[in-house]
Amino acid sequence: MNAPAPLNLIAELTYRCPLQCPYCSNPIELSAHREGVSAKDWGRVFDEAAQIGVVHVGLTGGEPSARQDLEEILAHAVAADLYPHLVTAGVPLTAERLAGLADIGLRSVQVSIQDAEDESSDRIAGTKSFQQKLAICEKTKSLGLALTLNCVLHRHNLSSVPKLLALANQLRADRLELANTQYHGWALRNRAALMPTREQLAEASRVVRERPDDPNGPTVLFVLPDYYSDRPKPCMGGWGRIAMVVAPTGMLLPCHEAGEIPGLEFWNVMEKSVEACWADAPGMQAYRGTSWMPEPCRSCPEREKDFGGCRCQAFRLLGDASRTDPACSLSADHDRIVAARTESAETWVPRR
Amino acid sequence: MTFDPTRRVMLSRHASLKTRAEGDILVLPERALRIGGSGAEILRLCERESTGQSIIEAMRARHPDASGINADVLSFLAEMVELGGIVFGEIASESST
Repeated sequence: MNAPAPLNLIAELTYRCPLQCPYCSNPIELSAHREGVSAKDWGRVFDEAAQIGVVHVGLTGGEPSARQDLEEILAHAVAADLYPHLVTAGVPLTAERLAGLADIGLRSVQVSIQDAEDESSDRIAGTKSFQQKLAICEKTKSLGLALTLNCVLHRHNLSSVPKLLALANQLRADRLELANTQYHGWALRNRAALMPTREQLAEASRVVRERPDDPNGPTVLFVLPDYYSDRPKPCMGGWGRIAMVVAPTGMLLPCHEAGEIPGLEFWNVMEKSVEACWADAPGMQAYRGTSWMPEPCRSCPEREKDFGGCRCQAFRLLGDASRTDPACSLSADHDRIVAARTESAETWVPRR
Repeated sequence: MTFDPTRRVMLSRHASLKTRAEGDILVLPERALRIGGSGAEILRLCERESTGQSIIEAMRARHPDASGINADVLSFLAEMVELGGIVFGEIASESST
């Protein structure tokens, strides 16, 4: 194969979701995206992905439990000897259905919450869902599965970090992801309403850093927003390097959003093999490796660590996906990022 | 972190060690990572529920000419504990190949 062997498959089973989070990574114009991969076709995708190296599958969406055939899809993942991980909002999933998924072979569950308490979490989610999410967390642990609790952070919930740490302990989560909003999709549209202040971030970061050492507590991951980092993140571990996304349409992509970049040709697993879509699609090859990089990335000693950051961010903010990620302080366009830090708006547009 | 070599370590029941053509891979709930040759050897020893010290001794016996095994094993184990790949004192998982 003329490409690195992938390890991870992010299987976006559907765009449907009962939540309306203002930072949703779904495409803004959903009407152009048709859900087109049946459970049987997902089975073929899993088999083909395993053949080229994939060992881990994240069953995600949208909300994967919105699919009535999730059980059949999971069974295919287990049969392909992939490690199956469910990423869920906790609704419309039920505890009973989760027990059935565990029987089929589910290994771990990530449950998203929007804040540490009912009223605020439900307000951000746009749906009454917090208590149901807690019930799914408890069921996950009682079934002996690994539990990750995930909360996307922004201006309206950063002060809840102490309560989120306490909640993760109470739920006996194995891992707590405190991931600051990255500004793509709906989050970019709502950037001025979500952008935190430097002081908020510093305080939340301090609380995480100085939390009491607890050998039974969860692993805690605190992810800074790109807008306050001096260097970009190694987005997806590098474009087309270790991870692939298969969208509900069947398009195989290097990340959730890359299909939105005009002029890049990606291929569909309903038309070609997973290996061909991964290794040979022109869009997958466009930013793989380091040879595409402009300066200052091309000669940067960090280029094999951050892989040039996020192509989608360069496209969204600069109109050119091949430019240096403006999140990097070495980018000639970094002033765009700096200026956005002080944006402010009172309200957000809920995802439709 | 400092690592107490008298404690029993084992592969987390949420982790799987898989062997593929490209090498060994540790699969965890949220990620998968390639593990170099001696790392995979150490993880396989962890599957047998050993202490850090007994893993060091086993590695010394297997690689009598290698230097720095003590520090290398302990730093690898500490890294794996941080990642959640190995844990102290619970039932080990079954690995798959």
